[in-house]
Parts: sequence; C-alpha cells; structure tokens
Amino acid sequence: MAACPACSEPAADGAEWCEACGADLDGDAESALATPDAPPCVSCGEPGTSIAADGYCGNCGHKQPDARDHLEIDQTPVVLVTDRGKRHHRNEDMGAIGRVDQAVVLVVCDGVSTTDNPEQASLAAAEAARDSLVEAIETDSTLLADNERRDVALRAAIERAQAAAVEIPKITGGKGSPSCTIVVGVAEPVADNTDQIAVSVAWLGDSRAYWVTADAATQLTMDHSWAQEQIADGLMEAEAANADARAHTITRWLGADAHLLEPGMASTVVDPGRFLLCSDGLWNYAADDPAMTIQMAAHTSEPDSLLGTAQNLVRFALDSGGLDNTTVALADYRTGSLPEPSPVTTAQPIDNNDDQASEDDATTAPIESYVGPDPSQQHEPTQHLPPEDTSVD
Amino acid sequence: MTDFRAEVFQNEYLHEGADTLDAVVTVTSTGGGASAAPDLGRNRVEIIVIDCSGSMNEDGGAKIRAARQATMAAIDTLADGTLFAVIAGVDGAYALYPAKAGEVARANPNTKAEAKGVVAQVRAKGGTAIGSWLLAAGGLFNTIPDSINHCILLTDGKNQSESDRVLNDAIASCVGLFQCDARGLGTDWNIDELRRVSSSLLGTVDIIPSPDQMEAEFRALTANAMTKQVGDVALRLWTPQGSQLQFVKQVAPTIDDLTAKAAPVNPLTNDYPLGAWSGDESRDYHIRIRIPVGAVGDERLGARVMLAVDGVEQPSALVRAIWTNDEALSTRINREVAHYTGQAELADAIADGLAARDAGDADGATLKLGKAVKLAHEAGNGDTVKLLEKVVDVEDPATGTVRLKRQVEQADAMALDVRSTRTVRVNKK
Repeated sequence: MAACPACSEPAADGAEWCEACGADLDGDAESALATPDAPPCVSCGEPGTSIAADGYCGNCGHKQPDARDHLEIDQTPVVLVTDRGKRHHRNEDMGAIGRVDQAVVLVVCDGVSTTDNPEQASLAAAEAARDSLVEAIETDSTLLADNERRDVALRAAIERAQAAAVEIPKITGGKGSPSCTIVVGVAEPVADNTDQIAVSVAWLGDSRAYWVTADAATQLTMDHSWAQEQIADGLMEAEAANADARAHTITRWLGADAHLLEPGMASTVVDPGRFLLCSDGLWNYAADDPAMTIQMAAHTSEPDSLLGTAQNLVRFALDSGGLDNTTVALADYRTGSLPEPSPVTTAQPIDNNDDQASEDDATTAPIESYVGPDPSQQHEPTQHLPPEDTSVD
Repeated sequence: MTDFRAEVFQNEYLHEGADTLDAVVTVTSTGGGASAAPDLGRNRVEIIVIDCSGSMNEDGGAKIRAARQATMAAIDTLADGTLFAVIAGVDGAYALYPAKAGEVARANPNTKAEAKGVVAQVRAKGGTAIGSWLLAAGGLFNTIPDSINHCILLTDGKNQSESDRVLNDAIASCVGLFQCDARGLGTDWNIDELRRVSSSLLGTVDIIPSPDQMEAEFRALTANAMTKQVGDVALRLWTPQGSQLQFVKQVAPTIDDLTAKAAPVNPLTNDYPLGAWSGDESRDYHIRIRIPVGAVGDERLGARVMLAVDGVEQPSALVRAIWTNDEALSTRINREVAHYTGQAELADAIADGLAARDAGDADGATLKLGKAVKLAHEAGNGDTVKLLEKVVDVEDPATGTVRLKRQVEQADAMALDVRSTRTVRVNKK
C-alpha cells in the first residue's frame, strides 16, 4: 500500500489519484499536479511545474481543481457521477458502486459541511459500506433473496461506514466531528423472474434512493430531516414544515457525535428500470415533485448511455444553480437483468464551471432537450446544521 | 533534538469580495526540555554589561553594591562551558573579566571565582554611552563563530555621553549578532532608548525599580539564556503574487512588530527573525495579508507558514482563503485572532493614556486608561490590571470607569509603560 505524497493517506497500488485529497498519483497528464506535464495554473497561467504537490499554485496561490471536483466512475451498467457544483469550494459528497453477478451495491454519502473533514468522512463511509456489502454478497450468493440476512447485511454496512467515519480525525480547534449522510442500496433480479427486481435501501440523513422507470420515479427513502419528521409525526402540514428555516436540518447522520444510528430501512419488488441514489444537491432542485423531475431528467438522454444519464442528472442540478455538491449513482435494470459490462472507460474530468468548455466536451451528453422546473422556484440548498452540542463558538 | 511546529488559527472563509486574511500562528518547540542543555555541539556566549557610571554611587552606594551582587549571581548561574565576559559600561566600555580586552573565558569553577573576585571590586565613575557598550559586546561575540549569543545590559541612566545617532548605529550593527535583554535600574533611564535596544536585538526590556530586586532578575535572565538550544529561528512566509503582508507581529508573550525585520528569501518569500529558542517554549504571531480577490467557491493560499531553524526549512502550515457567500461561515471571528486584536488594543490604550497623561491631558488620559482597565479586565490580564491600579483609581472595571491618581510613583508609571506590551494567551477551553 502506497501513501499519497500530498496528504499521506493510504493509496491503493496503481491508483491514479488520491481518494482523500485528489492529488495525482500516477503522474498522468489528465490531472497531474507538480509534474513536468502538469497543466498550467487555472487562475494565473503559471506553468504546471510551479504548482505544489498539495495543489496550490506557487505564484498566485490558487488551489487547482481537484479530481473530486468532478468525478465519474463508469462501470456500466453501474455508474457514479459526483460534482462540486458551482458555489462550494470542494466536493464533500462521495459515493461508491459495486457489482456481484446480477446484484449491485450503490452508496451515496454527503459530508456535513459544518463539521471537520467531511469530505474524508463521506469517502471513507461510502467505501466501507460498499466493501461490506460486496463482501457479504460474495460470501453468500443467496443473501439478497433472504429478507432477514439481507437486512442484517445492510445494518452491518451502516455500522462499518460509521466505524470508518469515526476514524477521520477532527481538526484542533475545529468545528466538530467529521460527519456525513449515507444511503446504501442493493438490487438483484428476483430469482427465476427477471421481470421483477428486489430492491432494498438503508439510510441516515437526507440522501435518497429512487426507482426510475419510463413512467415514474418512486422515492424509496424517507429523509431524516426536521421537516420530514414534523410531517411524519403529524405535527405540521407539509407546506408549513418545508417552509421552516429548519426544514433541511438533518436529524440522523454518521460520525462520532451521531446520537441516533438506527437507519431507515425499506425493501420492495419493482418492475425493470434504473436504480438511482443521489444527494440532496440533485433532489433539492425539483421544486414540487422531485420524483417527477428526476424521472424526466433521467429520460431526456435516452437512448444514451447510463453514464450519459448520470451526467445528465448532475448537469440538471448544475444548470439549476449548482448551489450544492451533487452525486448520482445509477444501476441499469431496464432489461430486467444487468447487461454485460461494457469495456471500462477511464473517467474524463470535465470542467463543470465552464459551460462553454463542457459543451465542447465529447464525453458530456447533450441535454438541450431537458425541460425542468422554473429555476426561480428552486428550494434553497440543504442547510446541514450541526447538532446543538457541537455548535461552534 | 528540538522539534518545531507551526499551527495556524484563522477563519479561512472570506465573504464575496473580501481581501484581508488574519491568522494567528503558534510556534512551539518541543523535545529539548527547558533546562540547560549539556551538550549543544556549539558555543553559548553570555556577556554581562553593567553600568558603572557615577550615578550608580547614589543611595549611599546601594546601586553599585546591588550591581556587584547581581552580576556575581549571574556568573554563578552560568552553565559550565559557557563562554562569558563582563563589561563595565561608562563613557566607553571596559573589560572587567577577562581582563584582556577582546577575550572571553570558558565558565568553570575557577574562572567563575576569578570573575566574581573582579566584579566584587568594581567601582562606579563616569558617564553613560550605551552604543559603545553594545559595540564592545558585539566585538566579543564576533570572535566566536556559530554560537548562541546573549547579552544582559544594565543601565541606571539616560544615554548622555553619546548622540542618539551613535546609539542607533551601534544597535543596527548588532542586529542578528546577539540578543539583548535590557534592564533599567531606578527611574532615571529612558524607556525609549532601552526599548530600541531590546526590540531590535530580539530581547526584552523591563524596569528594576529598586536595587534589592536586581539579583533575582539577573539570576532569572541568565537561567533563561542557558535554556536556549537553537540559536537562529525564523518565521518564513510565502505569500502569493500580488499580495501584501500588512503586518507580522509577535503577540505572545509580548507584542513586538516584526514587519520591518523582513529579510527576503526570494521574491515571494520573507524571513522574520524569531531569535533563539529553548526546547520547550511557545510563542504566538499575528499576521495580516491582503490578497487578490477570488470568486465564490475559489480557494487560494494566503500564506505558506514555514520555519527556518538554523537555516533549515521545516514543514509548513497554511493560511487559506475560501470565498463564500454563506455569511454564517464568513462572519465567524476566529477566537485567537479576536483575542490578540484585543491585546494589541489594550497595549495601545495604555501607551496613548500615558502619553496623554505626560502631556497634561487629564481627560484623554482618563478615557484611554479607563478603556485599558476595561480591556484588561475582560481579557483576564490580571497583572496589567494591577499595574494600572497604581496609576488610576478604578471605580468599575467592567465599564472602565477610573480616576487618575493624584500621586503616582514614577517607577509605577514606568513599569506600566514598559510592561504594557505583555500579553496573556488565549484561554484554551
């Protein structure tokens, strides 16, 4: 196991970039930092040789784009796209994807920005949960067909994600224990009936799971948010609760100071379609009916690739304002079973902050046909308020 | 082996369009211990300059007797192996020990006894020419390469036997060569003169109000000098193209502006001298940088904070700027920065108040010293409150309501002035 020269985090052998800080590890020209081939500073144009290993320009000090600013993992029929958005200085979202035969594992985590090192928490938690479930399914091929064992495995994945998040260090004099939301999902065709897919999700916080068919998108999760709990407890009408300043405050999360680690759990059997996990950076932009909006956005790219669909969903969030980090994990069960994987293509970083450049980028699906909600009716982005006992002075 | 580290305390979030970054840098040395290091691998040199001007004969000879006792105590405190010399300061500088000008002795029981024998006989007669004393000390330090150099300088009077320019030139020629703790005995010396010496030569200045306090002070100064293990530490700051480093100030244990002491390393990097360090101490620095404004979501370095320890660059900490339109982030005031901004305000209020008092402006003095009482009370500067209480009658420290005392001991006013830059550190919760 090697260590990242920039941040000393462990790095997998052969890794192209550091998953903790985004520094380039294999020195390729795509995202290289401090190598002879490094691109010039995006701000002042100083040659790439003067950009330090930690990504700051040696002339103007500008922090160079990080690999996590826009990251795509294409393991079609399972894909992940995550993006920094337009207003945040870093991407604190992360996800992880996995596949075992006809089963998929999807994870999305959203770092809580009012805590220390949330981008490390989301990365560690997402990978821990994914690894936990992939290992469990590899060990027990009938795991997902058994409700009891499947739920045990989902809970175990949440626990392993929590253990990973707790490992992330706080900052001396910082804001609070590193924290993130999590949603994990597993799907597999029902045995002997590939017209039906068994789907299960577990979550803490307000990252969501949807099942998307040609006709509809169905939300599988129920947010752990202040508004959702007021509505669920019958204390407030939806309209009033959602309009409250506390509406988006999450009530459950992963992290050392999490006070309630009981995940939300849901299982269902659905018709063929696509399995979608996303952070609130996406669903926040669906003013009235997130499910409807997501379903529409997901289908405007058809018959494009699954990666194109994920890119399209992320681009919808960016075009709607991009106020928050946005992450989309997708698995394709439209034929009832998973297609054979296409040859793995290397993720191409695209510049999400420069519309002109991205339109020229061949890897970006065109989305002119998207018809979304009126951007003037956007919700404010989620405010992740820290729990009271960790409030900063 | 002494290890150094630098920690940065700041709010890195700037509101859209903001361009000014404040940060407190805490520099800490560890691993060397605070006691005298037995084997440094280099020489430690201590030179003691005692004022032998005629005024030292006042009070029936109490001053010169105390100076003899204090110097003997300092000699006793020297670690064996230290190179040392004692200089008598009058209109010029004269070697007391070793007797031959231009030489230093290596401390051992014999040389210490010899030196004390000479010091016991010293008599006071002549004038005060502090510049010539510094030049003499500098000449001795110059004979020993790569050493840790410290000087104790005592005077009881103003620099009357030479011009101010001679003093300033002498100070300038000693910058970087040795550190000097300057002490004024009684109340007839000039605070500004000794402050120029100590500030330029990275030392301290203080009043010794009466002769009987001198021995303990000399012992403490010498003991502190014996703890120094690293002779030359610099705060090395890289700042981006187009930025301005508005100030670099030591803010704990005392306030001392280092901005003008910048020594360029390369076009974007400057060294600020921090002097000699023991293996177990910690000091705070406040830096303020103006940088070119970035767009919301941009992150930019305001400074790389490095340490150059005997010329060797050590790992760095970062002062960062992240532009945001989230006011909850950008309006947070960093605790350390706020604390030392308040400590600087307190020092200024005392200086302004004493200046108003000296100028006969009773209202201005009452206002400023009242503000000082309030600030000192709020920040927990207990020692400063005590000093202020000798100059003003405090009616209500919370509101800073004070009255000027009619009778103020000159020594108390000078102590308040000279100690006004002493700070307390942030109360770590």
